[in-house]
Amino acid sequence: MNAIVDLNKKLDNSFAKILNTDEGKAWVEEMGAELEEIRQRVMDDLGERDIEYMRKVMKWQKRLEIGGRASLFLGFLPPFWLAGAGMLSVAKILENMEIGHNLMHGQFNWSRDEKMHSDTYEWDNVIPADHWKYTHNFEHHTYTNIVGIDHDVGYGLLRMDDSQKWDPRFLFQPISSIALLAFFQHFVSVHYFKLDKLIEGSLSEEEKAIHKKEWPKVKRKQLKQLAKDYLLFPLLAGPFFLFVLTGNITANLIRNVWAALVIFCGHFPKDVETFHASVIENETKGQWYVRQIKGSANISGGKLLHLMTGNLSHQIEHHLFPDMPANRYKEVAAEVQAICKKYGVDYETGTMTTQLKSVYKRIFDKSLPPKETKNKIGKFINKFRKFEDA
Amino acid sequence: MNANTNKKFFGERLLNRLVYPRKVEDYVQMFNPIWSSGKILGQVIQVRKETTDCTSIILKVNDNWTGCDAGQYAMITVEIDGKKYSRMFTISESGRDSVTFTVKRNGDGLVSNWINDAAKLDDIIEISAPQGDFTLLEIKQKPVIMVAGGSGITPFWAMLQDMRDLASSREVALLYYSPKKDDTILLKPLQDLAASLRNVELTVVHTRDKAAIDGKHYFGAQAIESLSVNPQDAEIFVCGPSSLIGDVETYCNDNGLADAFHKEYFTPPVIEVAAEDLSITFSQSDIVLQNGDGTLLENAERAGLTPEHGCRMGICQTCTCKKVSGRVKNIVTGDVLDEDVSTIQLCITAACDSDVVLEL
Repeated sequence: MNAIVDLNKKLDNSFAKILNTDEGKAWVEEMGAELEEIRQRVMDDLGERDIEYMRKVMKWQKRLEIGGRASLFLGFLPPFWLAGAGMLSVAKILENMEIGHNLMHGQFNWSRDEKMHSDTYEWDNVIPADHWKYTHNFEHHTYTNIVGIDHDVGYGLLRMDDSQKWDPRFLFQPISSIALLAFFQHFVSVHYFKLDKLIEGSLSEEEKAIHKKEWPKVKRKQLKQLAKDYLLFPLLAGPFFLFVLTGNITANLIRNVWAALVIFCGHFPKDVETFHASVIENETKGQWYVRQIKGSANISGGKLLHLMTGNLSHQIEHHLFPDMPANRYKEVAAEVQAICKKYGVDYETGTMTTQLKSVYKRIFDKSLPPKETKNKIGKFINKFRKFEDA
Repeated sequence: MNANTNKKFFGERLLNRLVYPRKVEDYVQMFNPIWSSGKILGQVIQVRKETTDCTSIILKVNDNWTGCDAGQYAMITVEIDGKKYSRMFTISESGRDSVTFTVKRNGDGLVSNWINDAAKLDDIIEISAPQGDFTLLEIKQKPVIMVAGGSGITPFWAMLQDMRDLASSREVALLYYSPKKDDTILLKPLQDLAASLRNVELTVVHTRDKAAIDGKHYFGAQAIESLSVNPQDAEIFVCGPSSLIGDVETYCNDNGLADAFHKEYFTPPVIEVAAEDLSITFSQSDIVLQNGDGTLLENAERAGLTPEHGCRMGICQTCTCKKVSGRVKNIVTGDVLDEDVSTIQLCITAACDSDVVLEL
């Protein structure tokens, strides 16, 4: 397990308390059954309108992409540069979030359309689909918010939870979080390789072998993506290459920052719970459902927000039903919220501004050492003072 | 199975790098929905009702279609309520850039009924490369007897059009069984064609018509021996219900014509009821089912599973599955498979005389 986590500090959170009583376990199962019913009902109803929706999004994404790139060729005129960078940013956001992320979850595998199948879909960023499916679909969605196993808690860079051991580098995390936002696609592309474990030397031989085999995949994808955006398209623009280059850099940057912020809003707002690894021992489906709700938060907003966040504005519904076509999340949200109310489970939601404020407060809070460490440092400094006085 | 031509147009490689990870095809299809770098795609340009139960769909196809031999079939993939389904159908007409499939309702069959009821202009259908050897290619100039039952007329219609186009002088006798006059698929076109070609004789027998000629209701020695082509001189082709195929096959075997016999099934042969106290275990789903009628595919579906499948008659290999143990029978060939661990096609295999365990 991860040494940045102090496992002796068992998290005392409400989920563990609930599961400690028979009564708690019973209502969790009941709640799980009701949620399962919603899932089955929607999955049985999937058909033409869902596919047509996704095809429409894919069509518009391509139009924006073509429009954006074409516009950038005239980027020496500021309005065209702005329009180009803007359209390309939106195109990349749509492709990564509403299209790629959802398709790779297998949300449209039922259609048997090979252009929309999670086995074969590759997306427009430096992260190879295979690696994403492993770290996201498997690790993140199974071990959601379990500190030490779900690497989305902090991305190996930030300390987001008390159970993560503090060390001085976290003091700078308000700044390093900016780097994380700006280069999000690159940071996530190395998620698979568990760099924190590599640094501390705790990778097993088997893991090392797998990583060695998989590393070329990342190199290849990085090369193809970077060549496309930063070499080929600029070259095509001839003397105006700088406008295309800056436009493409900007579009990738905007996509990185936007995606990262949306993702932060999903699991980092203050009332979202983290869990100890022991919860997954013999976890039932009902318990998994409830943990997903407790470990996620929604962003409230309108249709445009839902589209631009790839429906991760419905993070709770997504975590409950990751393989349900995301266009259905809005429909089931009211029911899910009602079920949460019925069983007394908090349904966290707020505007993006509210959620982001809460996230950044957490980043600042956790950058500082916990009380005991502060005391130790104080005592240490006092020793020095005594030494000087002597 | 697809006509992956592998030849790229000039600049396709560079363009693919620019649109990575998509393909050029994904963008071209925004403007031309049937353009593809490797697949044969067709767009419905006409829906022609043949009878109440039979419809022809005429498709405009892309450049990856390079023609076929008359009598061949292809696997077509259609989309019904968002999901793709694949089935095999004979290519009933084929031109340089158009292909026609003539499809009769197959009971409750999903795809055949969709083609008859819901197929409309501009629908996109994917087509595999043509397959099959039910053709006149290998038969030099020998006379041919064609025996067609119901929708089994389609490969023969393709062959006769081909003969007309090539001005072939081959002697042909077509014996066509259909229930009633109104249900006779392609009757008028066939009559016109037979009238214009001196070497083609058309005999239509309406098996449900009261006015049908006595003794010629069903297939038999008299039926085939009263044709203008002598069976002993001919190659004999049959396509239609499995009972008709069986009867023609028996006649050929009884008269020393086994080598000249060619058959094409449209529906898999009917199998005898399997013993009902055999069980089928689906090991990966933890389900044990009492065997009932039908193929292992049908039994799996009855157990609530949804194994992948395509043509449901043993051609496309989509439903291949690992059998862990048990004796099973191939319902098309009649072969019994004893080998415990083997790969089988669910759609044409049935339990035989022992319990079966499948990795499903």
